[in-house]
Amino acid sequence: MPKRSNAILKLSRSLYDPEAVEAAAREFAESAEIAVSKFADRTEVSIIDGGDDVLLSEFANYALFLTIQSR
Amino acid sequence: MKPSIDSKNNAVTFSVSTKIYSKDVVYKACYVFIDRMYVFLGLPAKKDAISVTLKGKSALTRKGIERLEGEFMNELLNALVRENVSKRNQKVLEQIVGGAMGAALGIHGPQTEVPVQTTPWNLKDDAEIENAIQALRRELETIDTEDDYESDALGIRTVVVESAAPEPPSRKKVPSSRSVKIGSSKKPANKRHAKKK
Repeated sequence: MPKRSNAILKLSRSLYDPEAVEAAAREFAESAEIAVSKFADRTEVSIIDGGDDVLLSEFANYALFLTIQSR
Repeated sequence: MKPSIDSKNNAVTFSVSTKIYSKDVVYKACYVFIDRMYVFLGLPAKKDAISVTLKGKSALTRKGIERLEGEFMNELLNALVRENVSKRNQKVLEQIVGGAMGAALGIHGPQTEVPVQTTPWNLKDDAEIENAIQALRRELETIDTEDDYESDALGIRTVVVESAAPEPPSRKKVPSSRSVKIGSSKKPANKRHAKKK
Protein backbone atom coordinates (compact mmCIF):
# COMPACT_ATOMS: atom_id res chain seq x y z
CA MET A 1 0.00 0.00 0.00
CA PRO A 2 1.40 3.39 -0.91
CA LYS A 3 1.83 5.68 2.03
CA ARG A 4 -0.18 8.84 2.04
CA SER A 5 1.30 11.86 3.62
CA ASN A 6 -2.07 13.34 4.54
CA ALA A 7 -5.34 11.45 4.43
CA ILE A 8 -8.61 13.10 5.39
CA LEU A 9 -11.63 11.22 6.58
CA LYS A 10 -14.94 13.06 6.76
CA LEU A 11 -17.36 11.46 9.19
CA SER A 12 -20.94 12.64 9.47
CA ARG A 13 -21.77 13.93 12.92
CA SER A 14 -25.18 12.29 12.90
CA LEU A 15 -23.69 8.87 12.17
CA TYR A 16 -20.38 8.98 14.04
CA ASP A 17 -20.36 10.24 17.61
CA PRO A 18 -17.64 12.97 17.81
CA GLU A 19 -16.60 11.71 21.24
CA ALA A 20 -16.15 8.22 19.82
CA VAL A 21 -14.06 9.62 16.96
CA GLU A 22 -11.83 11.46 19.45
CA ALA A 23 -11.48 8.30 21.54
CA ALA A 24 -10.51 6.36 18.42
CA ALA A 25 -7.94 9.03 17.56
CA ARG A 26 -6.39 8.67 21.02
CA GLU A 27 -6.19 4.90 20.53
CA PHE A 28 -4.53 5.28 17.13
CA ALA A 29 -2.11 7.97 18.27
CA GLU A 30 0.71 5.44 18.54
CA SER A 31 0.30 4.32 14.93
CA ALA A 32 0.00 7.72 13.28
CA GLU A 33 -0.29 11.40 13.93
CA ILE A 34 -4.00 12.12 13.91
CA ALA A 35 -5.79 15.46 14.10
CA VAL A 36 -9.50 15.71 14.76
CA SER A 37 -11.49 18.79 13.75
CA LYS A 38 -15.11 19.17 14.69
CA PHE A 39 -17.60 20.96 12.46
CA ALA A 40 -21.33 21.49 12.75
CA ASP A 41 -22.24 18.63 10.46
CA ARG A 42 -19.13 16.48 10.43
CA THR A 43 -15.97 15.45 12.18
CA GLU A 44 -12.84 15.58 10.05
CA VAL A 45 -9.96 13.29 10.81
CA SER A 46 -6.58 14.05 9.30
CA ILE A 47 -4.04 11.29 9.42
CA ILE A 48 -0.96 13.39 8.99
CA ASP A 49 1.80 10.87 8.92
CA GLY A 50 1.89 7.16 8.36
CA GLY A 51 -1.65 7.02 7.11
CA ASP A 52 -2.33 4.31 4.59
CA ASP A 53 -5.61 2.83 3.33
CA VAL A 54 -5.66 0.03 5.87
CA LEU A 55 -5.04 2.38 8.78
CA LEU A 56 -7.75 4.72 7.53
CA SER A 57 -10.23 1.88 7.19
CA GLU A 58 -9.33 0.45 10.57
CA PHE A 59 -9.76 3.87 12.11
CA ALA A 60 -13.21 4.32 10.56
CA ASN A 61 -14.23 0.86 11.72
CA TYR A 62 -13.06 1.54 15.24
CA ALA A 63 -14.82 4.90 15.36
CA LEU A 64 -18.03 3.23 14.20
CA PHE A 65 -17.58 0.47 16.77
CA LEU A 66 -17.20 3.02 19.59
CA THR A 67 -20.20 4.96 18.28
CA ILE A 68 -22.38 1.83 18.34
CA GLN A 69 -21.10 0.95 21.80
CA SER A 70 -21.87 4.41 23.16
CA ARG A 71 -25.53 4.20 22.12
CA MET B 1 -29.96 3.34 -5.69
CA LYS B 2 -28.06 0.71 -7.61
CA PRO B 3 -24.99 -0.54 -5.78
CA SER B 4 -21.71 0.69 -7.21
CA ILE B 5 -18.95 -1.85 -7.16
CA ASP B 6 -15.35 -0.76 -6.98
CA SER B 7 -13.41 -3.90 -7.80
CA LYS B 8 -10.09 -2.09 -7.55
CA ASN B 9 -10.70 -1.15 -3.94
CA ASN B 10 -12.62 -4.30 -3.08
CA ALA B 11 -15.62 -2.21 -2.13
CA VAL B 12 -19.32 -1.83 -2.77
CA THR B 13 -21.41 1.25 -1.99
CA PHE B 14 -25.17 1.30 -1.71
CA SER B 15 -27.82 3.30 0.10
CA VAL B 16 -30.26 2.13 2.72
CA SER B 17 -33.58 3.87 3.20
CA THR B 18 -34.06 5.16 6.73
CA LYS B 19 -37.81 5.11 6.13
CA ILE B 20 -37.62 1.32 6.20
CA TYR B 21 -34.54 0.69 8.32
CA SER B 22 -33.97 2.96 11.28
CA LYS B 23 -30.50 4.17 12.18
CA ASP B 24 -30.38 1.71 15.07
CA VAL B 25 -31.14 -1.18 12.74
CA VAL B 26 -28.35 -0.07 10.40
CA TYR B 27 -25.95 0.12 13.36
CA LYS B 28 -26.94 -3.38 14.47
CA ALA B 29 -26.21 -4.77 11.03
CA CYS B 30 -22.89 -2.89 10.94
CA TYR B 31 -21.97 -4.35 14.31
CA VAL B 32 -22.31 -7.87 12.91
CA PHE B 33 -20.04 -7.11 9.95
CA ILE B 34 -17.51 -4.84 11.59
CA ASP B 35 -14.99 -7.59 12.37
CA ARG B 36 -15.21 -9.15 8.90
CA MET B 37 -14.97 -6.08 6.71
CA TYR B 38 -14.50 -2.35 6.75
CA VAL B 39 -17.76 -0.45 7.06
CA PHE B 40 -18.15 3.22 6.22
CA LEU B 41 -21.36 5.13 6.76
CA GLY B 42 -22.22 8.40 5.10
CA LEU B 43 -25.09 10.68 4.30
CA PRO B 44 -25.88 10.83 0.59
CA ALA B 45 -27.47 13.80 -1.11
CA LYS B 46 -30.73 11.90 -1.20
CA LYS B 47 -32.78 12.47 1.93
CA ASP B 48 -33.92 9.66 4.24
CA ALA B 49 -31.04 7.43 3.34
CA ILE B 50 -27.69 6.25 4.65
CA SER B 51 -24.95 5.29 2.26
CA VAL B 52 -23.09 2.16 3.27
CA THR B 53 -19.69 1.24 1.89
CA LEU B 54 -18.43 -2.25 2.57
CA LYS B 55 -14.82 -3.01 1.87
CA GLY B 56 -13.38 -6.49 2.07
CA LYS B 57 -10.33 -7.01 4.25
CA SER B 58 -8.88 -9.45 1.74
CA ALA B 59 -9.01 -9.49 -2.06
CA LEU B 60 -12.44 -10.45 -3.38
CA THR B 61 -13.89 -11.32 -6.75
CA ARG B 62 -16.73 -9.25 -8.18
CA LYS B 63 -19.20 -11.92 -7.08
CA GLY B 64 -17.70 -11.87 -3.62
CA ILE B 65 -18.16 -8.10 -3.43
CA GLU B 66 -21.77 -8.44 -4.63
CA ARG B 67 -22.31 -11.07 -1.97
CA LEU B 68 -21.17 -8.59 0.70
CA GLU B 69 -24.08 -6.34 -0.14
CA GLY B 70 -26.55 -9.22 -0.17
CA GLU B 71 -25.38 -10.46 3.22
CA PHE B 72 -25.59 -6.96 4.66
CA MET B 73 -29.14 -6.49 3.38
CA ASN B 74 -30.12 -9.84 4.89
CA GLU B 75 -28.65 -8.80 8.21
CA LEU B 76 -30.54 -5.52 8.00
CA LEU B 77 -33.78 -7.41 7.62
CA ASN B 78 -32.84 -9.72 10.46
CA ALA B 79 -32.09 -6.78 12.76
CA LEU B 80 -35.36 -5.10 11.77
CA VAL B 81 -37.42 -8.19 12.58
CA ARG B 82 -35.63 -8.67 15.90
CA GLU B 83 -36.27 -5.07 16.84
CA ASN B 84 -39.96 -5.34 15.97
CA VAL B 85 -40.33 -8.55 17.98
CA SER B 86 -38.54 -7.08 20.99
CA LYS B 87 -40.71 -3.97 20.82
CA ARG B 88 -43.84 -6.11 20.71
CA ASN B 89 -42.78 -8.27 23.63
CA GLN B 90 -41.23 -5.53 25.73
CA LYS B 91 -44.20 -5.12 28.09
CA VAL B 92 -44.56 -8.84 28.61
CA LEU B 93 -40.84 -9.17 29.28
CA GLU B 94 -40.91 -6.28 31.72
CA GLN B 95 -43.81 -7.85 33.60
CA ILE B 96 -42.12 -11.25 33.77
CA VAL B 97 -38.81 -9.82 34.94
CA GLY B 98 -40.56 -7.46 37.38
CA GLY B 99 -42.62 -10.32 38.77
CA ALA B 100 -39.57 -12.54 39.13
CA MET B 101 -37.59 -9.78 40.83
CA GLY B 102 -40.51 -8.99 43.13
CA ALA B 103 -40.91 -12.64 44.06
CA ALA B 104 -37.19 -12.97 44.74
CA LEU B 105 -37.21 -9.89 46.96
CA GLY B 106 -40.51 -10.79 48.62
CA ILE B 107 -42.24 -7.69 47.32
CA HIS B 108 -45.71 -7.96 45.95
CA GLY B 109 -46.29 -5.41 43.27
CA PRO B 110 -49.60 -3.73 42.57
CA GLN B 111 -52.21 -6.19 41.45
CA THR B 112 -52.97 -5.69 37.84
CA GLU B 113 -56.58 -5.88 36.89
CA VAL B 114 -57.35 -8.98 34.92
CA PRO B 115 -60.01 -8.27 32.34
CA VAL B 116 -63.22 -10.15 33.09
CA GLN B 117 -63.78 -12.78 30.49
CA THR B 118 -67.30 -12.75 29.18
CA THR B 119 -69.22 -15.99 28.96
CA PRO B 120 -69.37 -17.58 25.55
CA TRP B 121 -73.11 -18.01 25.79
CA ASN B 122 -75.54 -15.12 25.81
CA LEU B 123 -77.55 -14.84 28.98
CA LYS B 124 -79.94 -11.95 28.93
CA ASP B 125 -79.63 -10.70 32.47
CA ASP B 126 -78.60 -11.57 36.00
CA ALA B 127 -82.04 -12.92 36.89
CA GLU B 128 -81.72 -15.56 34.20
CA ILE B 129 -78.33 -16.62 35.56
CA GLU B 130 -79.75 -16.77 39.09
CA ASN B 131 -82.64 -18.94 37.89
CA ALA B 132 -80.23 -21.31 36.17
CA ILE B 133 -78.15 -21.62 39.34
CA GLN B 134 -81.23 -22.33 41.45
CA ALA B 135 -82.38 -25.01 39.02
CA LEU B 136 -78.97 -26.69 39.19
CA ARG B 137 -79.05 -26.60 42.99
CA ARG B 138 -82.48 -28.23 43.08
CA GLU B 139 -81.27 -30.90 40.70
CA LEU B 140 -78.26 -31.59 42.90
CA GLU B 141 -80.46 -31.92 46.01
CA THR B 142 -82.56 -34.60 44.37
CA ILE B 143 -79.55 -36.76 43.58
CA ASP B 144 -78.65 -39.06 46.43
CA THR B 145 -74.94 -39.12 46.00
CA GLU B 146 -74.15 -41.35 48.98
CA ASP B 147 -75.63 -44.53 47.55
CA ASP B 148 -74.47 -44.01 44.02
CA TYR B 149 -71.16 -45.81 44.19
CA GLU B 150 -72.56 -48.68 46.26
CA SER B 151 -75.44 -49.45 43.92
CA ASP B 152 -72.94 -49.98 41.08
CA ALA B 153 -75.40 -49.06 38.37
CA LEU B 154 -72.88 -49.69 35.62
CA GLY B 155 -71.68 -52.99 37.05
CA ILE B 156 -68.06 -52.07 37.03
CA ARG B 157 -67.31 -52.99 40.60
CA THR B 158 -64.65 -55.70 41.00
CA VAL B 159 -63.65 -57.31 44.24
CA VAL B 160 -59.95 -57.47 44.79
CA VAL B 161 -58.71 -59.95 47.37
CA GLU B 162 -55.20 -59.45 48.47
CA SER B 163 -53.42 -62.76 48.57
CA ALA B 164 -50.60 -63.37 51.02
CA ALA B 165 -47.28 -62.53 49.58
CA PRO B 166 -45.25 -65.65 48.65
CA GLU B 167 -42.25 -66.33 50.79
CA PRO B 168 -38.94 -65.66 49.15
CA PRO B 169 -37.01 -68.83 48.31
CA SER B 170 -34.51 -69.79 51.01
CA ARG B 171 -30.99 -69.12 50.06
CA LYS B 172 -28.58 -71.95 50.15
CA LYS B 173 -25.10 -71.09 51.17
CA VAL B 174 -22.90 -71.71 48.25
CA PRO B 175 -19.21 -71.58 49.05
CA SER B 176 -17.47 -69.06 47.02
CA SER B 177 -14.69 -70.29 44.84
CA ARG B 178 -12.55 -67.45 46.05
CA SER B 179 -13.19 -67.94 49.75
CA VAL B 180 -10.38 -69.70 51.52
CA LYS B 181 -10.70 -70.82 55.08
CA ILE B 182 -8.20 -69.17 57.35
CA GLY B 183 -5.84 -71.65 58.81
CA SER B 184 -6.81 -74.48 56.49
CA SER B 185 -4.08 -76.95 55.70
CA LYS B 186 -4.97 -77.16 52.05
CA LYS B 187 -2.90 -75.01 49.83
CA PRO B 188 -4.14 -73.96 46.47
CA ALA B 189 -2.54 -76.06 43.84
CA ASN B 190 -0.24 -74.11 41.67
CA LYS B 191 0.72 -76.03 38.63
CA ARG B 192 3.38 -73.66 37.52
CA HIS B 193 5.32 -73.83 40.73
CA ALA B 194 4.78 -77.52 41.28
CA LYS B 195 8.15 -79.20 41.26
CA LYS B 196 8.57 -82.06 38.96
CA LYS B 197 10.10 -85.00 40.68
